[in-house]
Amino acid sequence: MDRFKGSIIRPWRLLFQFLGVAFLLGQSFGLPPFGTSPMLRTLFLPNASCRYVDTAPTSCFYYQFQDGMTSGASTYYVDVIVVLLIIVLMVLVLGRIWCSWLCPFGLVQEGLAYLRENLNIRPYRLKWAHRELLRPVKYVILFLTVLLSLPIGLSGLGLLGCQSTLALPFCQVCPAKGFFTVSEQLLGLEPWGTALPLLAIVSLLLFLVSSFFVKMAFCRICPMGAFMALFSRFSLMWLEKDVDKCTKCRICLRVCPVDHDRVYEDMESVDVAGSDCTLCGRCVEMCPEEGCLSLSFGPKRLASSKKPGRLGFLGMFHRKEGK
Amino acid sequence: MSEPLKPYDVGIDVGAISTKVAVVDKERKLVAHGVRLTTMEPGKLARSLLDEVLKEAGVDNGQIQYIVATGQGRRSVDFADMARTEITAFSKGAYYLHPESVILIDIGGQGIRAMRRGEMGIIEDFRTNDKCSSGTGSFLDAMATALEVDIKDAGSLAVSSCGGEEVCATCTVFAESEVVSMIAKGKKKEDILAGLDKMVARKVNGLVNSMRSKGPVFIGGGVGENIGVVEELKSVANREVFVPEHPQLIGAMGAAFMAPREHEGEKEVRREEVVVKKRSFFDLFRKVKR
Amino acid sequence: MSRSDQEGPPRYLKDREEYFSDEQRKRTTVESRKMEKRVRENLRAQKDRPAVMKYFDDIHTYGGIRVKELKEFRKTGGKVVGTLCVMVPFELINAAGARGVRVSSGYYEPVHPANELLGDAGLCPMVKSTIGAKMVHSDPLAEEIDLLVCPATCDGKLKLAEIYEDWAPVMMMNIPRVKTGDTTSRLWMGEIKFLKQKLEELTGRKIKRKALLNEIGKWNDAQAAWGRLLEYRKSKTPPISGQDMMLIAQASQKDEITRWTKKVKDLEKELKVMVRKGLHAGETGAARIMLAGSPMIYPNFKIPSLVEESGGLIVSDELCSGHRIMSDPVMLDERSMSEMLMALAERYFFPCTCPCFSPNDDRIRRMKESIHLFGVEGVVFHTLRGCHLNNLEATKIEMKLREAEIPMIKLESEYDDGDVEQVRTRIEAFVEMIKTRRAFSVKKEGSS
Ligand code: SF4
Ligand code: SF4
Ligand code: SF4
Ligand code: SF4
Repeated sequence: MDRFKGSIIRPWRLLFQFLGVAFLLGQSFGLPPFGTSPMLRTLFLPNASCRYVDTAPTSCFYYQFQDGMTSGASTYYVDVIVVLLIIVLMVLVLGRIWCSWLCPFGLVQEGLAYLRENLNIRPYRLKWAHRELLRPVKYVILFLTVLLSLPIGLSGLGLLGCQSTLALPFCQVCPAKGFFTVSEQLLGLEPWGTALPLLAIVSLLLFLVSSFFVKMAFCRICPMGAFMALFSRFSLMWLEKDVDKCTKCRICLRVCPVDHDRVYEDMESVDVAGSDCTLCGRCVEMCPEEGCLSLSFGPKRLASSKKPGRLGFLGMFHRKEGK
Repeated sequence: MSEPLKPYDVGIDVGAISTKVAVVDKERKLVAHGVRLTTMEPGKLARSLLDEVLKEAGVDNGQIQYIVATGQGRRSVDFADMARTEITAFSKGAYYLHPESVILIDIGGQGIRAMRRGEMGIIEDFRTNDKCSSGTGSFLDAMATALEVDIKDAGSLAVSSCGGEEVCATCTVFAESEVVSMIAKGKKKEDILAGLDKMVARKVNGLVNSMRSKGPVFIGGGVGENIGVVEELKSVANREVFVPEHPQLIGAMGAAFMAPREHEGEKEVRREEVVVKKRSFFDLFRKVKR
Repeated sequence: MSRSDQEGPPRYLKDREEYFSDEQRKRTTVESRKMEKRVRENLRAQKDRPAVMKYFDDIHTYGGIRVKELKEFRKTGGKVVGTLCVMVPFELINAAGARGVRVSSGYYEPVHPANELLGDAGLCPMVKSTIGAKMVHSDPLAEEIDLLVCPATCDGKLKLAEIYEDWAPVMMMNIPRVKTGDTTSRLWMGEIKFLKQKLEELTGRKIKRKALLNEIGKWNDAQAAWGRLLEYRKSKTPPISGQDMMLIAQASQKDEITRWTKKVKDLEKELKVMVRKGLHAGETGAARIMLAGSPMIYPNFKIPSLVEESGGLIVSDELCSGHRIMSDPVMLDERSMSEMLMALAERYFFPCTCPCFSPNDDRIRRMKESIHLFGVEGVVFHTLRGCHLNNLEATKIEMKLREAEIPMIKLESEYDDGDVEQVRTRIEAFVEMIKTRRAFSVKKEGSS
């Protein structure tokens, strides 16, 4: 049936996302397959493990970023620079592909949206003005993190209490911290009743509720995303738009989970990914014009939009029609 | 072509008011011509006119290679080898007579047509007057009748005027009543005629400007013979205006010029292929198009 | 906003049924019927016409099967909704259990009664004919409607709806004519919700989520079928003429959509056979023409038939009486009611390149894209006399097309046959011009 366009990208993406979660859980709790191999356990993926799980060997890059700034003054910040360079390099090559293909936050949010969709509850669509207001928030959070943790490291306050809270300012409000501390206690990995991070639990609840109603609510303020967004516009991974073919039907904007309006508004650029697009490919799946939008790696089109009537099954790799 | 070309081609222009016949040779020289008012049976008229013209010029029927019909009644000329619209015919005629002209104006009995010519005499754009016949030959005819002037003298009479009257109405009927009231006021005929010519010239100039080109103008068609209009146009248009020797015959001559010649036949070429837009390799490394 | 539920006295004509004489009614009816027959015959006379086309002829026939079906349907309590525009979502109408028909009129004769009442107001003849037909009850299809849904696109239609109200209930839809993204989207969404409410009132039953989903599916199927037909128009020798394509597209707004889709699929099969046999529409080496501009509603097929008689072949159009009816699918992201309504609203509004919108640069871009896709060699831009929007846009489009070296001719036409010969001359000249250009460009390529 070709009445409604099926997904060509989503199944692949889901596969990757589940792998991402499996990796996270494996690393954190030592579960197979990722958690049992010592080699894989040392692998560092941007935010696929959380420091607040005691058994996790590595941590998310944002932790290392914060930690590096507080404790790295003596080593001339080498660790933090290395970590950030890795991330920047990844972004320059792959763009923000991390966000919608591997990030566990993303999967949870999509799962909630899926739940809502099947309950036939309509999503709350942010108003234009609110969307514009929210856009800089993630950069502000990023900036605040630096503003708070850098002086602590420089002044060498070294107060333990301060270090664990103020030196890692974002971790205190990160939903992941809330999730892992609570779940560790629920699983009995931690003694019951150890001090619960209230702030993080509140933020976890907010995270769950808001992303149930608003698509990708957390991504709009995520500072990790903000850091990647700083460089993603120079990346090799493009959301390519053939403006001649665009009918301005607004489908791409409507289906975009992060309301990335450039994909609809921009009628000049070839690459419309900009800084906010997470390369999830939803718009590519849904755009009804043949070859109008494509996910491409430099000049190579990985997947392009097709006319609704003639969609290949799981046509991940786009073959050019005719010539 | 195996057999040698015969020396003459004929163009027949069946206009709304008059039918024109032109016989040209292969050097595109006018050999003979004839003009007659169009009747209800344009086909028959064209035949008889052609016979007459041929007899006068002493050309035998067998010496004619092609007969091309044009004009509004082109389809009723059943003995023609091909029929082309007056627009194409006129542009061909104008191109061969004055190749440097860019804007071609054809003021016929019932229509004004403006064309812009591109390379090789191919028209790029054209415009015609819709429904309204103001400014055309029949309009001037009607005015001349109202003024009781022979249309042949109307042009020279208008040129002799020292200052024209202002005629405002463009509709034939309203203009006529305006003219009549002017006569009643005791205005001079030549002044009124000059005013009318000015109005026609302004209208034509509007068409000229709408072609959006700065090039010289070629004016033909029956009204081209009216030197009043031509002079006015020259002063209004502010650019070079070519007037051919036989303005009325341009359509017929152009039709005759369109007859296929050995070395530059217009072949009907099927379009080869729908061109496929290619993605240039280097395009891809430019992030911004255009 | 809506006055359809007001049961007040007529606003225009107190004695609306006595105003026109019986004789006039009869004349209009007879003339309309004659005209439709003439046009139909003309269409049938095309060479190598697919046999399935007869079905689409029948749908359009004056007082033909479709009218009978709708009569039956209404007898059993069904409701018929008339529309005047491509911007009314048929999916919604169908989901409410009603049937939609486009009642814009292409008959020439009803212009006269409208002129009598309104004076020759310089109005577009399509609007006048639509009113006229209703006033003298000369269009059997328009007689069957229970509600007229009229988006207030141009001035003509805005006032047309008001006059129409004397004869049938009317619901106006407020079209935001300046497209500025989010605000516009919300405004139009409100109108769609209002339409839904109206339709529910009319039919007395709620529009169910499943039903709407189903209807959207049907229409998307129809569009997919139409899209496959379009592929045939891209070939060097299209097997189907532009007039027929317009006829098919317009039939979709009168017919049951599933049946229409089935017939289009049949047609596709037949075309496949025709292509194998080497049959094609139009003459060999016909100039490939694109039609643009004001709508041409059947039986006002003057311009297309003239184009195809003068050695041209219409391979593409951007008319709201042609390809635009079927050009944009509804893409559902989620399937809750309000999301579906939003998808519907956006599909019917944003990709629409009606000249009543500003800014409307999309129109030129889309035209250029079709020109490229269908190998168009020249554009015939038709405007109805009195259609200011298209008239004003023509110049802009001509300028842009000239930059792209595509010739365009602008033709103004009326609802009568008086200008046929004039228009024919101009179209023929245009076709000749295209053919000379073609010969020339091939020559140039050969020499260099
Ligand atoms: S923006 Fe943040 S939470 Fe969202 S996917 Fe990217 S890293 Fe994950
Ligand atoms: S979905 Fe495709 S055609 Fe529609 S506006 Fe977006 S890019 Fe353009
Ligand atoms: S613009 Fe397209 S690819 Fe980017 S986030 Fe939005 S839907 Fe996904
Ligand atoms: S043709 Fe023009 S004036 Fe007539 S209804 Fe359409 S938009 Fe309005």
